Amino acid sequence: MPSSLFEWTLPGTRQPEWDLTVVRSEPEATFNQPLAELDESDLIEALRTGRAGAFDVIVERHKRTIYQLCYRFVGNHEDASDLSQDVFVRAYRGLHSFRGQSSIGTWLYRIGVNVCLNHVNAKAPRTEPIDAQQHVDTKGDSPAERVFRHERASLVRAAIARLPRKQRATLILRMYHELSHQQIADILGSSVGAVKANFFHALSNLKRLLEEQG
Amino acid sequence: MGHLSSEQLIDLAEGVELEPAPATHLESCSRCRQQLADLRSTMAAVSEVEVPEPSPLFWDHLSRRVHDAVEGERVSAGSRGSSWNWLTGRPAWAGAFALAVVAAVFLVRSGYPTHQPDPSISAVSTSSKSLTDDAATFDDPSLSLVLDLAGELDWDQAREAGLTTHVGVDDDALAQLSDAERVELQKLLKGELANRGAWPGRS
Repeated sequence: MPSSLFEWTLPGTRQPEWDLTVVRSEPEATFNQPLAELDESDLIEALRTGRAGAFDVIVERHKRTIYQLCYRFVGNHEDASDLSQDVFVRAYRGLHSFRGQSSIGTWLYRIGVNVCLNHVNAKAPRTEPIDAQQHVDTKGDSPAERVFRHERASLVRAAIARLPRKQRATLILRMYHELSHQQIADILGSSVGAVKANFFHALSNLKRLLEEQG
Repeated sequence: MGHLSSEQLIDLAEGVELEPAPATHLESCSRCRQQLADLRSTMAAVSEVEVPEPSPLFWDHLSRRVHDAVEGERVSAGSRGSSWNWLTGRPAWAGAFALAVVAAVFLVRSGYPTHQPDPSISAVSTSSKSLTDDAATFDDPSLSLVLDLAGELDWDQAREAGLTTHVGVDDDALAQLSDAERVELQKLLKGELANRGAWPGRS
């Protein structure tokens, strides 16, 4: 029942013959809450209801992780930046298919791995020159140590780039993103056993490739 | 017992404790111990490789890029008739909305009550004559059409569709331009003014 009524009568008109009563339902508790403060389930609901800015919050929360994932696959800033954008645009396009069965993070990882694997299949790997990596934290290394560190990192990156698709994705998700075997299995659509086997073969192949390189 | 499986070796390399039987095997099998040592050393080499931290400005730049790209998606989806935003990409509705705003201002100034209900009031009782009914008292039939259209429009939808603006929006846009973009904009404006004969330096 309405708590009070408001009379709105046009000047100079006769008495109302009928009343129109509009009762608005109470807004959702989260409707007026700032988007940045919403937890994941409320944010998903905000997305579903088309609340403006909800997707921007998702981008804010996950952009760093997605960029780092892309960088691990492609090894250079420019491509990682482009691919990160691509991941979020694909996520936006696929919002209607997101059922909320996994977390937004897992869902974005799944899109990210697919986007990156498609990209690296189509393009030869390209790593950045040493000058472009000026933001690496060198932890006070001497110049000689820095060069050695950089060369070793380049060798490892090049070796990872030569791994088969699933081994490469498994290694990146496990070593650099510290996802559990179950999370990786969900992302790659396989079993925990298959993830562990892939991880084992990835490390074994990597050791062989590193020995071949030098 | 046979050699350890790949799963067992991975568990060991990651610090998971084994059942007594595999643990006993590991103590006596140099091959499995070597495999485990190799796994651990490779993991150590891999973990040393870091992602270079991009410029601090990059993160805002990435957010803007994604926002713009998603807006582009939204607009193109709207023009394809997607259910995402029925208002976006339909100039006819934009025009109707503008007309509705003008008509509403006109009606209010023509004697409609200017007092508004208290937002805290959750129910409204209105008189027997609705706003649309009274529109019929105006001679211009287009006002009726405008009011009909206005009745279907929602302010939030219009705002999301980018039909509204605020003071200083052009300044905001200018502030976001890089130096190179500003120089380019300056060139374009000079060229445009020169074409219209308004640029003093035109020969």
